[in-house]
Amino acid sequence: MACSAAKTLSKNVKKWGFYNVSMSFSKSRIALVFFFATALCLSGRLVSSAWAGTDLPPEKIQELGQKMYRDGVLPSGESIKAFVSDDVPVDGTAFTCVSCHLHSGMGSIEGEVITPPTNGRILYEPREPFIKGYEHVPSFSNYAKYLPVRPAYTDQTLAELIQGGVDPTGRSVLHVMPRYDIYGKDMDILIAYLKTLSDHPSPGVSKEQIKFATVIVEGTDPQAVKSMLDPIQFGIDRKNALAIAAGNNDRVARMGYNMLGPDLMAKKFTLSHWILKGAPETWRAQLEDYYQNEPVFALLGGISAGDWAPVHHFCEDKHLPNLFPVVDYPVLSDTDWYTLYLSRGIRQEGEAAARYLMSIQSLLKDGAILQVYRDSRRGQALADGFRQIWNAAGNTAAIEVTLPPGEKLTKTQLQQLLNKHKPVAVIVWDDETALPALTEVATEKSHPNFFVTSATWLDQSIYSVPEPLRGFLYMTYPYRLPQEEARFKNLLNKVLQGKSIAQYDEKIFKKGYITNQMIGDALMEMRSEYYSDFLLDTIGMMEDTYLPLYERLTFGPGQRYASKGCFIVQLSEGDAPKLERRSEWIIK
Amino acid sequence: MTGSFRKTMMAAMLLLLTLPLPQAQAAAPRYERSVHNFSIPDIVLVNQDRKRVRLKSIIDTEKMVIVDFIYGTCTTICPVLSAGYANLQRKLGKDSEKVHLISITIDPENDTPEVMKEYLERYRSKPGWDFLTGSRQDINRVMNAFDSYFRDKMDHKPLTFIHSPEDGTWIRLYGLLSGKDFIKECEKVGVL
Amino acid sequence: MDRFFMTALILLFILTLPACAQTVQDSAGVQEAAKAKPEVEYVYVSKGYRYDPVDATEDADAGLFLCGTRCNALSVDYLNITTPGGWRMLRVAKDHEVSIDLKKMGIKGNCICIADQYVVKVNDLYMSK
Repeated sequence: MACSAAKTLSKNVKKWGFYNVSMSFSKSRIALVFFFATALCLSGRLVSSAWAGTDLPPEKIQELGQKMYRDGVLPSGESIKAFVSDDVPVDGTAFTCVSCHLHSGMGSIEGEVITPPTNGRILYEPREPFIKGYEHVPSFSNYAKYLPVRPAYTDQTLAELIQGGVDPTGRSVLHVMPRYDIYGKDMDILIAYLKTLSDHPSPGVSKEQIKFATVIVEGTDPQAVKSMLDPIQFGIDRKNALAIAAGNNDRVARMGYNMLGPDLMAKKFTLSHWILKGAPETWRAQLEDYYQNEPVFALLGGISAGDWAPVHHFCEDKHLPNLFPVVDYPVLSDTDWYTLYLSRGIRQEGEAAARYLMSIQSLLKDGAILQVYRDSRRGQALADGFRQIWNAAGNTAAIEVTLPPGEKLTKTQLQQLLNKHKPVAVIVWDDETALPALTEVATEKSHPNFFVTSATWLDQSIYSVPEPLRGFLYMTYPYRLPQEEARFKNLLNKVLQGKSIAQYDEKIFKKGYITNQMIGDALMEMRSEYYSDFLLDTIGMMEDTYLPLYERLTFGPGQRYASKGCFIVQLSEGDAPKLERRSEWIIK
Repeated sequence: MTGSFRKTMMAAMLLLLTLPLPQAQAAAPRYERSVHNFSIPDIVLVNQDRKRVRLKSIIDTEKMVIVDFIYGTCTTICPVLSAGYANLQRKLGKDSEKVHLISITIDPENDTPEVMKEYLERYRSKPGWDFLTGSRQDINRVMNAFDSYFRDKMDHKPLTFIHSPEDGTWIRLYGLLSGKDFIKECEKVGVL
Repeated sequence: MDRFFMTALILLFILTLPACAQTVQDSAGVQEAAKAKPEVEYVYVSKGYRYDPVDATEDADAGLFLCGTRCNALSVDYLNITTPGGWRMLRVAKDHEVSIDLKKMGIKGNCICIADQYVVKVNDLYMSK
């Protein structure tokens, strides 16, 4: 690893060589920078009038400071004014502190720019080219040694930085950092808020251990629960085995130290099972009890065949991260922060169907769309996903027909609907019992060119779609294609440890695997700064990830649904048919 | 791990290199400028209003076309590039009609037309600034055509491309430009 | 002599054991070869596409878009092959032209997808299983 890092460095230096020539520092230049910064300070423009701090109560500082930090809005309600790239005026609402320094204030690395931490604890300490106590941990020092050394900030020098972009050494910081017009009491509030940001490690973390829990809704299929739990427990056990081995074996200790740092290497993990019983309305009280008895750093996975909203809202209120619960009906929100889902659940297939039909709209020639769906939670979620995307784009609403529970879709019923509405595309959200009716209609001389169904609902029946229907049946498939998924078997084998995947629900097992992988990767990136917001910030800044099950998992600050795609597939011709893609993972 | 290290290295370089120049050296630009001939792929993208746009046809016009690569939830570079676009529109006033600003997303997974529309509103864009998305492969083709392929959106660079309608060449600007520099570069193309 | 004979017999027995085992394996394998032999897997990585409308009545932009959708769908994301480890892609054809039939969708023109063709193999060069 060290070798490859050295190569990368030398490559980058070469790549950037011309800058080094034209912009190298000389003594005279440093003197000029110093002069320039001093002149700016003396000009008085930068110096705030009051440094006595603020006498507002802590809750008010949190409220007003957070508004400035996250929304770019002054306590007066006006948006903060700022300049970026020297002379470009910008609104603080478009250039909030949070957008680069993130929720935790622990900073980010993105697009060739390091944004240093901006929480009080780190700002008010001198910056060294290493992190104290972690001098020899490669991943830690790689981060720290490329940030310029500076003395500790004071309230005054911090205000000067925010207003003028000049740090306590007199050096100007990168021009992507806006220079904000914040003065007086407003500045006091912001600084007081920064001092509270990521100040104490989140609950569930002690010197010896990090506590996690997983939420299991009672009554969930035991095989499904085991499939979710085993890969996560495997990760916990392996981590604890490493901690023990490192205590007994120097070589392992060295390896663990290099990879995780002394702190994370030595910590043990625990995973409690929080079983929720009874009606969803009673879950909140149960969760409160569990959390009070045993505060945890994060909820890993979790499983419910139905509701999840009470758990979601509990996590939101307690600022408790929940990574990738196995649920079909996640809470959909653009602003909620603390639960990361694997996808938008079942409705994502309905949304994909709408996007696909919109992508072939020129072939539909404004004809009617017929949406037939089973009157069940699953059918409704799919139909709603379709309806929302289709209608929001200004299309004429689809004609909708529901199938009552237990009533099979018949050829006569379907043909009557076709005769009546003459649709150009027919969407049927139902299980495999709908296939005979669709097949019989497709054998007729005249029929629509496009039939759409959910491959996950048809399940294994997708491979027995009869020939006359195959060429016209388009199915939503929200996973990597099976023939390509086979290549990920080796990864799973490491966790299966000789057991057969057949004893598990394969898809749920893979979801548990993803959770295990993501929490491990995130903790390794977190430089032993155990803040719940930083955990979510870290995952938000991760690169695209290729793990079992989904074609691609993507992240980004504030993005909360990791798998955003869904293929539209058809069954190939012949006796040993395969699924063939008819769309990309992301449909535009 | 290696990816993060690479990013750290590059970030550190940029951090060092973009330190401000004192007055005495103010003439040296903070960005790299070069002129290229790019062959634009014949593909169809989707704009913030869900309209399909044939990329070639919106580039081969009499207007000056400026292209950058950004994404909706980007933290550092994109807001600066977009503030630059917004500032350019404001400064040019009526002349902004002569310029077509194009932002192409490098996060098509998340950047739906709705996300892109909201993004443009946040920067108070005026007509003449389109935010385009499309299939990931088509967007990769565009990035490749501009010799700017980023394997991952987190690795992207501050790049702006100005197309001259006169001779069809592209000016590649690498770095974050001040408002003044950006206008100066546009003026060099000769349309304004 | 007897000892020599016995030793030789035992040695012969020992030496032939693995060979017999191998033969048993092989003969079982021959019957299943047709089934078990992994199918050679070819994939495409598309590089571009073109659409030729049949006549002027066709919407060329729409045809190009739909052709692009299908051509891109034909392509694999190479990261899905190389990321799990243990697999490699060998290019067997460059700028291969694949004709995509869009008639069932109601498009008459010709859609040509230009793609490099790869064979996907177990990476026996560097990776252990």
